[in-house]
Amino acid sequence: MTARNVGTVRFVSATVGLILFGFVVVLATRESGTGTASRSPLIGQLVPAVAGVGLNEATFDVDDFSDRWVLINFFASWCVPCEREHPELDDWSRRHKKDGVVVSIPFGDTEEDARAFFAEHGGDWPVLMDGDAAWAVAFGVLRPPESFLVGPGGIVVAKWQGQITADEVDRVVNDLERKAVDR
Amino acid sequence: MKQRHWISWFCVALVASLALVAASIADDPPATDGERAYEIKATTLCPVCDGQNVLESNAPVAAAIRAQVDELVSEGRSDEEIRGWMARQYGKDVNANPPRTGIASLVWIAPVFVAVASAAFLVFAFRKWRVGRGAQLSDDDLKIVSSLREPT
Repeated sequence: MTARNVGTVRFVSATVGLILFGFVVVLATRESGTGTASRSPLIGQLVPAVAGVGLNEATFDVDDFSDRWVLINFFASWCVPCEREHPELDDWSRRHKKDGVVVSIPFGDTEEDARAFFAEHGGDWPVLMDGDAAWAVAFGVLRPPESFLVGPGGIVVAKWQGQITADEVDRVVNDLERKAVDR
Repeated sequence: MKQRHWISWFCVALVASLALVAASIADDPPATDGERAYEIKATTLCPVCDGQNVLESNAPVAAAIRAQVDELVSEGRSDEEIRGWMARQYGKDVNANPPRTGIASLVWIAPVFVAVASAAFLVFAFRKWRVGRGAQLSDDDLKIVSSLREPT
């Protein structure tokens, strides 16, 4: 092999190596495809408008509860974790009769099935149908159950993907209330 | 004269490549809102499925995105606004078409670069072979050939 050929081979190898290295760097530093499931761009933002007439014919507007905690829960009657967490929502609702409210939004479900779900499992909080899926998309809901905690002032402070417990939600509430007092 | 000949071929190849790239990137604008919504849904990936777009998927989130695309199209929102909104809500990976800016634009640029580089390499190699064919044989070369051709 001549000296010129050796130079060409080295140049081509170095170029290919650099390109491959570039791809590795890009792939290693980009965001994970599954990472979106555990984050929400809504945290720290004003809660999207959620207002309408509930299944119990009462009107609900999240803006009317800006002095309370609001737990927005996306659920489906066919979803087993939703069924399991329902008593926890009921518990949290009882604990926060004065300073909080739960609102449920069926996701990928019919009004009839949502009514049947509440008739079977109980719960006296507002249930709003998301006809054109505007709220589901505004909250970036992927699969039920998903819950969003809105603090007094209308800021989204936490998101849970999957089954929640009343204690888990209260840990966030107590933590934020303690921080507010310390300030 | 020979150099001018090559420049002409290079220009023809360049124009043809650019035309191909432009034709593959430029899309005919959809005629109706329905077509526009269909196009957006076909190029928006279901965020909880493996490689399925929201048009093909039965997941509730895909149904939600389909309903919202219809709603936003009927409100007169532009394609960019709708795609931007979905990317903000579900992450930029829901866009099946990689963006044409930033590092992701490499997906569009790299194939063209590789095609041009490969063509240039082939031209270079063919020319080198042609030059090699016209080389004069030395006496030593002829001796080696004749010794090899002698019957053993």
